[in-house]
Amino acid sequence: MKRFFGLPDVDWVMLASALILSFIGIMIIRSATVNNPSEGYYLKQAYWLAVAVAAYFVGYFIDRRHLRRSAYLLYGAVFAVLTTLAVVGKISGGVQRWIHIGGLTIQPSEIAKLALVLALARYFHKQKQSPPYGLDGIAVPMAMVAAYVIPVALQPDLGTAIFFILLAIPIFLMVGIKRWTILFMTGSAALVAPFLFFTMKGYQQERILNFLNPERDPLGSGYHIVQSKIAIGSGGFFGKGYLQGTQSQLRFIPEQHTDFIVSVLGEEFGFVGIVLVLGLMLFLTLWMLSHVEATRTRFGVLTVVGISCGLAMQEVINIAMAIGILPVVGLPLPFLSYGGSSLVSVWLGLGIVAGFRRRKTWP
Amino acid sequence: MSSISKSVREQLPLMEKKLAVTVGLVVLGFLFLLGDFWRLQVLLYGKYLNLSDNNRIRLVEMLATRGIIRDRNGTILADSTPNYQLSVMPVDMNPDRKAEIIKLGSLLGRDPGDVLDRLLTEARRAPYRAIIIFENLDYREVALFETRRDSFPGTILKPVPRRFYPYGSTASHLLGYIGEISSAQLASGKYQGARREDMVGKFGLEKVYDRYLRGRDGGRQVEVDARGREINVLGITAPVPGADLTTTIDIRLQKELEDAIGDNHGAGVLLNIRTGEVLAMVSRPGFDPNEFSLRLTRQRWEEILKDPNHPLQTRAIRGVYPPGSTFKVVTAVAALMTGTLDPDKDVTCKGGFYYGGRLYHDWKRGGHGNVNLYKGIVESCDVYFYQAGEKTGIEGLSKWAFALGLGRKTGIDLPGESAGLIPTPQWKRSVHDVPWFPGETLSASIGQGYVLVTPIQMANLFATIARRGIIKAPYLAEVIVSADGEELYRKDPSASLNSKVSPDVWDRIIPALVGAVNDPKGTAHAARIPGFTVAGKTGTAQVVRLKDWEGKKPEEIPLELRDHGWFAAFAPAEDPEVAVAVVVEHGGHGSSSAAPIVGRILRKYREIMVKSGYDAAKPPGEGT
Repeated sequence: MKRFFGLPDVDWVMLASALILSFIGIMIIRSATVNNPSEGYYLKQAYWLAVAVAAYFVGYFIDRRHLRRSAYLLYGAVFAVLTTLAVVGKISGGVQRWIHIGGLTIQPSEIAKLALVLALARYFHKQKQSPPYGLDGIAVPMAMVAAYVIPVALQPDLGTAIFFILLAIPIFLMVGIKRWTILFMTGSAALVAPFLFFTMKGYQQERILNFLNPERDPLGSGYHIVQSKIAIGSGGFFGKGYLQGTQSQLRFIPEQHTDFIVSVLGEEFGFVGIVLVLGLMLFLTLWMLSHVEATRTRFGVLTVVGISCGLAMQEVINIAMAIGILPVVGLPLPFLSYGGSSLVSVWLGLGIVAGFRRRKTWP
Repeated sequence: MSSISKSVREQLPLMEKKLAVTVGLVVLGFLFLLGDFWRLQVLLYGKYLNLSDNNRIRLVEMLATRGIIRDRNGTILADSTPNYQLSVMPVDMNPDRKAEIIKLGSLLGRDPGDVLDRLLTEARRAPYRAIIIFENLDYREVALFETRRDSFPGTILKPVPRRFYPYGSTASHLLGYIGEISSAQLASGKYQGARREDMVGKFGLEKVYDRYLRGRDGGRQVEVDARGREINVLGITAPVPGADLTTTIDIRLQKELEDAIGDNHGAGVLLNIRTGEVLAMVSRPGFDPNEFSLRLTRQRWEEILKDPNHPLQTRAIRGVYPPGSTFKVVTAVAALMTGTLDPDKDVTCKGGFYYGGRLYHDWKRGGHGNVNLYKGIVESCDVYFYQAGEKTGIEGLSKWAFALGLGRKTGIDLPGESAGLIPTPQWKRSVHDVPWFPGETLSASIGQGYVLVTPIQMANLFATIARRGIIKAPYLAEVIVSADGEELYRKDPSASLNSKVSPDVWDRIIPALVGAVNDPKGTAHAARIPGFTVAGKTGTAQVVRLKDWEGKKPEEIPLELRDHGWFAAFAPAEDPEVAVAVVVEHGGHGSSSAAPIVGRILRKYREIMVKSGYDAAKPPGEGT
């Protein structure tokens, strides 16, 4: 890596890929909200991108030791916020996912994804016991995951709650878990699932039932998937062209600037656009994973793997929702979906990963 | 990924292998997705293109019915009636859209007017969104259209709820009206789920409680043929009707007060003293809110805006007038609280007061003779209050006027309330950049000069006096109940402020207000009601200095130069239930213009109370 303008060696490959993806996002948001010009979504997203790039450099330049030492502090602070939101939400009877600070609206569950990865990485970093771990070895990290899952599920933000569980899997697998433990956990999950289903809110149960049988409710979430598929499918190989997406102009697809953004991409830029964006995302993930070789500690390895896989999983899940492979649970598409908190935390994560290559010295 | 450092390798056995598996899984995930996109966008392209090209699936909006607004006894004040609306889906129309609309217009005998321009721009912007062409079709037009429907592809005829105000212009300023959402409102983010062309509250209660009243639109998902005709309903999301609002108004009292004010311009407010509920509130002239429920033409809107009588101005909360002698009550409180006035000491009034080399007249040229506080209020002696105000000073006067709630908004739940004005030397310096002159204190002490109040402030002032100094905010919305019976909002009337006026001050002032109505020498006989003790004060507010018209009878003076007449009161004095204030613009003396109106509304109030066992303290929404 070359020094550039006296800056320490910046990961230009990562920066360029992420910038291209974010710019594509702003473009698509503009198209998705073109009938809502008063809202100025894409401009807001552009402002957020500036903040996100700044966050990238924060993550990039922060000392690795500080990062490791403050992992629990960050985890605890985020836990406090999530719990407060859940409690306030219960009291005020409304959905509480956002904090309003001045004119800004922040969604703490986005930063929680990073906090959880860092905290788990730190926990295993300090473990004296050698892997593979049994149930006793992973009881504490499982409790750490549960502490995030419960308040977020109460918000109720089912998508993010489930995502926290998924986020822990690559980290667990990376450190090594006994085969019996894996079997035991999978078995208990299968047993708990029906019980969970009955504790869900009505609309969440609806979503899952609709996913299992899309014909149940053509105007509900099943309908959105139908519309999203029509949009993507009718885009064909080359797409209908920028701002020419008929389905997107219809407002048939709700949240098309957030959770269903990929349907606008598919309709207007076709298979070519999809290949380009998915290819970039895959390339970026692999590039991030390649940073593992620069890390020298267990904390570093797990952080890099956790952030990279978390990003990839979220991308895959969101897109799979938009084409009806998975139930719609409401997870934004990193880089593309409208939303400042998501964009900033994704870029911060990139910065943290890139930072491991900054100086190959012991942290 | 082969050069992982040794230490890590020792720490994490098999890490490389696991990393390889991880990479493999990530690649697989993306490839799997790409495969599905290939299937959707390449293999099934034809199928989806057909669905999208013919745009076979439509979402036909089903508008939510706006919540009902009722008076305190359940009488409906704002409702919805079906209104047939004809709209077009540009994408389904014959190519020459303009000609189509003109043809449609001539069939129904309607002028398309500015619809044409709107259609052409909207059609470019969103060809898949229905555009409203004609509204409020009558049955003849509906029948005519139905017979020729097939020659107009892309047209949609559907009944939509239209706002309807059964009492026409009665309570128009309170209820407000609805209108098409403006770009500014759309951009404000306060109208969640609203879209262009939606009708939202623009004025009055309709605006303040819009988010409750509006409801949520639903829609039908339908499959249409190439001509845009529905061939199959795929699903329905029912609209959620808006919540119902019960107000504090009693429509009988409202009508009575409106009739009493009649063709005069002015305002009147009747408050429940115990709670702060507004029982009636009138601004005249009014308007018919039904006119706004159908989109107003620009021309008609201009006409209303340019009307010299300002029918849209809610005079009851926005109109500011000098309070005239009604303000003497405030001067009395200020003088007593600052200790500058002995209420039992007589002041001699010879019809004028020399101050600073100038003569300040009393309205009674011959003078009132020896006057104490009681007589000063009963006979409304200007000289007595000139002296009281002069001793108290503008600082003391303004301090107690603020303490009694003047000079600031009352907090009523309507948009655009004015704060009125209580002048202070600092205010004058900052606005006019000149010092305060002592003579101006004299004008202020009899409610002239810079002092300005709104009718709602005046009614609330008298309610405050009746509550012996306790201030409450007047309010109109009592309870809001959602369509499925859930109570979303209920006003808690317990909040109050204490103006901290000593009780013995009220012991002096309230009897004098009773005397002003009931004493043989009182100025407000017209408001007297046998068996129902009214306590009140008249006021006459100068519009201009009438030097040229001195000695002339009111009817000889041009209308626009005549004084405004005020009367404010509460009753019954022993255990007050209601407070009222009326101002009649250019009505001349308060005793002859406003006091009879107050007498009439109080008689009506009493009649209703006696007849129906009406209890002023009982919350609305529970029937009588």
